[in-house]
Amino acid sequence: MPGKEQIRPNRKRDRSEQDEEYVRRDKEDMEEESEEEELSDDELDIEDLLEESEELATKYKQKGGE
Amino acid sequence: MKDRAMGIENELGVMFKDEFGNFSSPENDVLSIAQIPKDNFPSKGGMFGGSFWLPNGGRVYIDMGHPEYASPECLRLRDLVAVSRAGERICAGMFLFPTKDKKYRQLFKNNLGVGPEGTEGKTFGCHENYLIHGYKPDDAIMHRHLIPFLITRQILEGSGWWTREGKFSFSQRAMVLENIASVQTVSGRPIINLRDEPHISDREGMSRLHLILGDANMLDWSLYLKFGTTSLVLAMLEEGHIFKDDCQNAVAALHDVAFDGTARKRLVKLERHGTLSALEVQEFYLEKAKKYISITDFMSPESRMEAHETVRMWEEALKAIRNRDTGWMLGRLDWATKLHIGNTEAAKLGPGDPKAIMDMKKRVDILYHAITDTRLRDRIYSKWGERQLVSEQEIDHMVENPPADTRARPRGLFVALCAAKQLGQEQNIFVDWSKVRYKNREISLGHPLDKDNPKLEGLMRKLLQNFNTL
Repeated sequence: MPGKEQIRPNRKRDRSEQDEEYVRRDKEDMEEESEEEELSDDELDIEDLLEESEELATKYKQKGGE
Repeated sequence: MKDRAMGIENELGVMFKDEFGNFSSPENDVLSIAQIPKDNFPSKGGMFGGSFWLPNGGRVYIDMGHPEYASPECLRLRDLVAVSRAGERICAGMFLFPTKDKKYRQLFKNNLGVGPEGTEGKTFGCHENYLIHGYKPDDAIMHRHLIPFLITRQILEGSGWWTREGKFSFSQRAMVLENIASVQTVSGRPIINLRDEPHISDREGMSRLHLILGDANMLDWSLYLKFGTTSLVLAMLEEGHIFKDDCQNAVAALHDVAFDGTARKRLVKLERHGTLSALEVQEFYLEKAKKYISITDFMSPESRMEAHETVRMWEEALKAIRNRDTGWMLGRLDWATKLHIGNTEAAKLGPGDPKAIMDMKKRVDILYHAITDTRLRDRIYSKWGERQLVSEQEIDHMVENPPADTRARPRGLFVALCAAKQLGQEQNIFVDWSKVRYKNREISLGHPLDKDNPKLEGLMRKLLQNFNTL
């Protein structure tokens, strides 16, 4: 159907325009988020160390003493 | 102000880590020096009398199942910080080898383990040694004048600890101390230990003040302040310029100050000055110290400079605590740095599960003291690098070289020479804090500040020429 043939490209065009808009917004959001995720001046990036040491909180039991 | 030899002993905690990164407790581990692979020992040291003596003049040994490092005697505070950090490197290298089931020991320089649910764990010592002039270690008058300073200095040198209930303490050691002075270290643990050992004392002994109330420090500033301020207060006492007052219920006050959280609560009852906060007590001692360094005579320009530097740092630290200046404290004061990191990481979890929040803080609490894996402290100094007092080169130097101005120098040189000549206990050689022995010849190392030892140097010259003829 000619109408449908016409509609499809239009829809595609609409979608690509929408996609571009989404991409633009996503990018802005991501930029905003990454700004938020940046470490403050007095914060250390130690996420990897904490992941590796999950069991320390409960398993650091020592023998002996002084 | 007389010069003073100082030294530090650190007992180290151990955890096992397997090849998949899982941790396990060392409760059933039987650790001995004999297990250590030959290549793990520092090349210039040697086994004498059950201890591994180091070319820096210190020693490493196993005490009640855990590794312990005893530093060489130091005159300078910078050297003391450097030998302490060097000890971490030496021990990390010595004890990093696989067990039969392919686990590796991870070492931690802290003072408490994690106990069963709802309890605190076993405690590990961080012991300080000071050469004292004119007093015996068991002098009750000296104890009275030192106690207000000692029970409040945790706001400067404490390493911090979260209890199982979630309370934060300035000090790990404060809560396990029960007495002012005694010979005990395990039960009825005192602030001042009266055990007579030759580390930092002369041959007659009994001139070592042995403090066992302090925490193990990870940051240079905290360690420098601990020894610098304590040494200065001892000098003021020795010359009659001490802040004089008697503390009532000192051990209870020590515990109360630990959980004060602000250093401002008036918890320390003094007979003449009334009830003061930890901060106020420290400020009284600081004021006395400022006057004292302006009137006393120093034995060298270096000693004068060091005393002035200590007072400057002391004043800055107390000012930051009074002004709640966390930014200043980060990378300088252990308790404040740990508290900040723990709270920051816990805050990321949101207000949800209190147990998860507590676990996060405890994780930071232990991780903060890792010395086999130093990544956390490396990141602290990467961010606040100017707050590291000693350079990597100075630390590396102190791994293989003794401080230049104490009897650690001849001892360390002798140990290194024995290693080079492959001489050991089999040749009837013995090394200790106060003497060395070669075959039947015993040589005293003399006063802790004797950096030269002609008799030992003579023996070393002969060893260099031909040890077989001796």
